[in-house]
Amino acid sequence: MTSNLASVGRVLASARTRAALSLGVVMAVGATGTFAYWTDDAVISGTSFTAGTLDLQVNNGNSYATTTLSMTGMVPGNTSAEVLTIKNNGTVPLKYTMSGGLTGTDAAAYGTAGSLLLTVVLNGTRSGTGNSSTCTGGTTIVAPVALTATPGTAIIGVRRPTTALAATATESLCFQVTLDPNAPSSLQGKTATATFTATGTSDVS
Amino acid sequence: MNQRLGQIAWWARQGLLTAGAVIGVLCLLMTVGAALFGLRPLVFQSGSMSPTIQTGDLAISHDVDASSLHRGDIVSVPTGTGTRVTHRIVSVSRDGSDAVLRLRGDANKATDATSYRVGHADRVLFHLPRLGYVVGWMSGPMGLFLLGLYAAFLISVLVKKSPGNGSGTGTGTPGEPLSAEARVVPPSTPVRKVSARKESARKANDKGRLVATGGLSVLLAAGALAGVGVQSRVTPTLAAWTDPVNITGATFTSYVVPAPPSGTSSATCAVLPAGSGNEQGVTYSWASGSTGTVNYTTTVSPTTVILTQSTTATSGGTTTLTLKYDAPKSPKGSQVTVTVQSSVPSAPTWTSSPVTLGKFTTGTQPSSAPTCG
Repeated sequence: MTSNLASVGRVLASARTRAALSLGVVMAVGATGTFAYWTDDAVISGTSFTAGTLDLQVNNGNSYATTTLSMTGMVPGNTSAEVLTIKNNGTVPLKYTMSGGLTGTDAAAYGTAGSLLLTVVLNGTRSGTGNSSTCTGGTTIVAPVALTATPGTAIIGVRRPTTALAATATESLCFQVTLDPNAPSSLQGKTATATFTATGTSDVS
Repeated sequence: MNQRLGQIAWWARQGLLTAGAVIGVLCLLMTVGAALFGLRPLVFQSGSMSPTIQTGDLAISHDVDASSLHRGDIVSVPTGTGTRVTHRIVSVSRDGSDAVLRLRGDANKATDATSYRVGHADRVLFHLPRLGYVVGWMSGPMGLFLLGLYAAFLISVLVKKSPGNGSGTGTGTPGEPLSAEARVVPPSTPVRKVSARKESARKANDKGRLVATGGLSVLLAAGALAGVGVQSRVTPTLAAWTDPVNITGATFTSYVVPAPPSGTSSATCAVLPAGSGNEQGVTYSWASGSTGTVNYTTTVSPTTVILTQSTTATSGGTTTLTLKYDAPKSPKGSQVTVTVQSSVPSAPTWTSSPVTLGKFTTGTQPSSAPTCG
């Protein structure tokens, strides 16, 4: 028995055995499909690691209070607009989503009626003044959508832009808020505040 | 000099084989573990789980049912876009055998925008720092090239015939057809002592060696099969950073359509002289109060009063409503209530609440004038 154990030890110490065991590494790598799974490319290019900082900014700040989006004395059909600049102020590419909704005393009234409509236009510009300013030009990326009384409601649900925003790159979004021309008379004198959250993510898949 | 180089080569070879064997066994165990226990290695490609788990770390996760997931666990779940995210659970809601998870990276200020519905998930057991970089590099062209070289070297060791002197333990350096005694080996090598043993003792141990070698072969074969069969993979995972920016300050207040003053004390009633065909009428006047153009809609009760004119005009801060009715066709001697609602031209659908301006009583004869009140 002792001699058997000794022989096992000797076998383990032998170069051939160690070589055979070492093949386990090769096999393990082989079993992973040579890691091709890691990238979308057919060419195996290794894994990319993300190091750096992620910093999304709106109008060069980490929070932003709008200046021309508010309306007072608003009647059905009135619109307001403001251009916001989304900036990747970090060092890694990013994509972002946006959620938003209404808060304040009469958020529920507007939410239920679905009368405050948000439109987001990529590269749109603000034209007009006061309660008749609109976004013109550009590409509509959010068709008129009614703001709800739930502030976390997704507005831009799919991470954008399609090709991630590179470090230091910017994107210009024109926000337009419309009081629905068919808004019910019961909304007279009601006040609600819209808040939005743009969330940058380093997940650029 | 040559002797010295040979010695270095010998040590390098021994080191490579021993280290390779140790790592190889670990890889085998991992492969078998993946097959038997649902273990999955994860390579962290980003650092939102820092400081707990940094970019480039390798974590080992274990596939568990949704029912055993709890708040605080670090789990790896596939995203809708075919990648994988590994974050900490901030809340779990159960739905049948599924769980709906809200996740957040330790380094993130915000909870992930999307929730994940899972029947089972990979829960992180432990992680090894920096090892993900090694695995990542191994998957690169250089890594694969070196791996190929390494495999070739191993195969050369395996297939090489034992040195001619019959030293079956195979410790001799391949390609050095020298007798055991003449080999350039460090004097303290235990293997050499083994090879120096008596031939008869070695033969007696042949059986044991056969058993050991056979066992190893079976182990290797099983490992290889498990690896191929289960397709265990080192999985990249994004521990994606998020950075929320709040956009506030947009307040919307709607217009209130101004109502005309209510009550007879505010609106002054006056009787108009009779028109042709016994057309009778009254006027109501009140201070305009509001700026801008306001339209009024007038209604009378009872509706059997046939109105021939109902117009408002504003001048000098006073708004006047002129009401005329066809006296012969309207009720005689009956009290009529006059109600107005205002609206603005820009919002014709929005009206104020109705306000009673006042009352008047039609004359008892078509030719008699109405009276206010």
